[in-house]
Amino acid sequence: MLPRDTLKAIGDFLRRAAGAERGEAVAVQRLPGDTAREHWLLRADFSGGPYAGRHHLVLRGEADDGTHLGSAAEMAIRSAVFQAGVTTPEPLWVEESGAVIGRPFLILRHAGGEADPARIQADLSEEQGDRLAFRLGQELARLHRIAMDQAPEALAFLPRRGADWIAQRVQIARGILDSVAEPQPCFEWALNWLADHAPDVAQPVLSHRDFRSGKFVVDGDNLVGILDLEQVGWGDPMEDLGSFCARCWRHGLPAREAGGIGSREAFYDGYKDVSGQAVDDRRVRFWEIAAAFRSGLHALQLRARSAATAEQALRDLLAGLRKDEAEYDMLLDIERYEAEKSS
Amino acid sequence: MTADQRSLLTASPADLIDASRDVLRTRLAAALTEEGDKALAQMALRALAVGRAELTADPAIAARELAEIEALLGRDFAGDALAARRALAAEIRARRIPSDAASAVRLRDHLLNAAAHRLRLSNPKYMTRRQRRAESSY
Repeated sequence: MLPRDTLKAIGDFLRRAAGAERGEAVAVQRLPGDTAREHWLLRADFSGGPYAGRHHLVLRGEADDGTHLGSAAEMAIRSAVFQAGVTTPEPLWVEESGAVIGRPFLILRHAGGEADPARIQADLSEEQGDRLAFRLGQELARLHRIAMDQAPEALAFLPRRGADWIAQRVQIARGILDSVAEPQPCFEWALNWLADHAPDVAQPVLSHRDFRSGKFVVDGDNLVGILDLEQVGWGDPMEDLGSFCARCWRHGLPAREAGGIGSREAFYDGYKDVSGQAVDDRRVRFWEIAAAFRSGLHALQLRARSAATAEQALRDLLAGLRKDEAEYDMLLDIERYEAEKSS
Repeated sequence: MTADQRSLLTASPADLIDASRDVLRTRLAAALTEEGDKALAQMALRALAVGRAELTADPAIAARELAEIEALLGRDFAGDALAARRALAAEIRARRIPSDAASAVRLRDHLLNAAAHRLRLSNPKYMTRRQRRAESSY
């Protein structure tokens, strides 16, 4: 639990931020699922001001590993996404100084529900899964309404996508391949292929860039909120659709091609329903292959990292074996992609 | 492990792993009550299964992988499979593998053979499902 002094400092911050006359915060529990930063579920009671009443909030502490977005930048992204109409936990306030709990943090409304892909799958009939896939397609289309050329000033810090974006991505991927001990001929070959076949992106839009099962919360077949917006950046809108449909993220239900949740058709229909534009299926297929590459690269990193405990070491080694699945998927899907081009 | 070391054991390494897995599965895992502990036991069982598969894999397959790389690169690696894979990875990155159709097919076939071999050891069910292609068009 949070120390009493820390909790009082959080309560004082919330009272000021909410413009309340009085305010009190209670830490309900520490939320699991993120090893890089702490999340606390808070219950806050305010008297007076626009937020008078009881609220369930999440305190999202800033990671101190230097590889994640700062709280202020994350607040700007979350605000833009929320204002675009995406169903995501409402971002309320940011504490940037670190003076309250020793590090900056965000305060979000709590979105209660289930995020575990296996549990979500277990509870969904085929019809419910299609309904949820349709809804998720709609949500992505709302996110993609934010175009790089018409971006709000608050997002000016996001790196603009230049003509050299492929070279940049290749360089990053090669850096990761060089950091693992064993040579990876298959990944080297797939990386060349991806660089050679990457589509032109005429109008980059705000993309989630890690959209897959596990990145949203549902209550039954009802979407409660899209999560984890910290990898958001300018990109090809079809990349998010490809990531979601990639075989590696379908978990135990590969026949449900949209995230192991529902049909590809329902997902595409949902996207078209909001965007008014048909999905470019071939482009989505390209990004599915790219998603397999990324998942395999991540598996290699997990296998190579040193774990703090025996349990974590076992988890990392087993997760690292998914690199073999990624290789197999890339090779078969590239073969199929090229066969469809020539047929 | 060398042949001399193996001869010191009264049971084969695979037998020792099998016996350990049986005890873990039937006695230890069965006695666990916490879901997290049960999941961890299943993970340990899987890790042992993968280790056993690797241990008992046909050495001819690894030799074939090495021979394929040597044929692709036109070099002899004197039995050093790691050096061969490293050289192949470097040649691919530098795009020095001939780009004619026959070479491209040989390279892809090699990569697929190697990937399939590893997947047979680490997750044979995954490959079987994909080969059936029954569950999805992709």
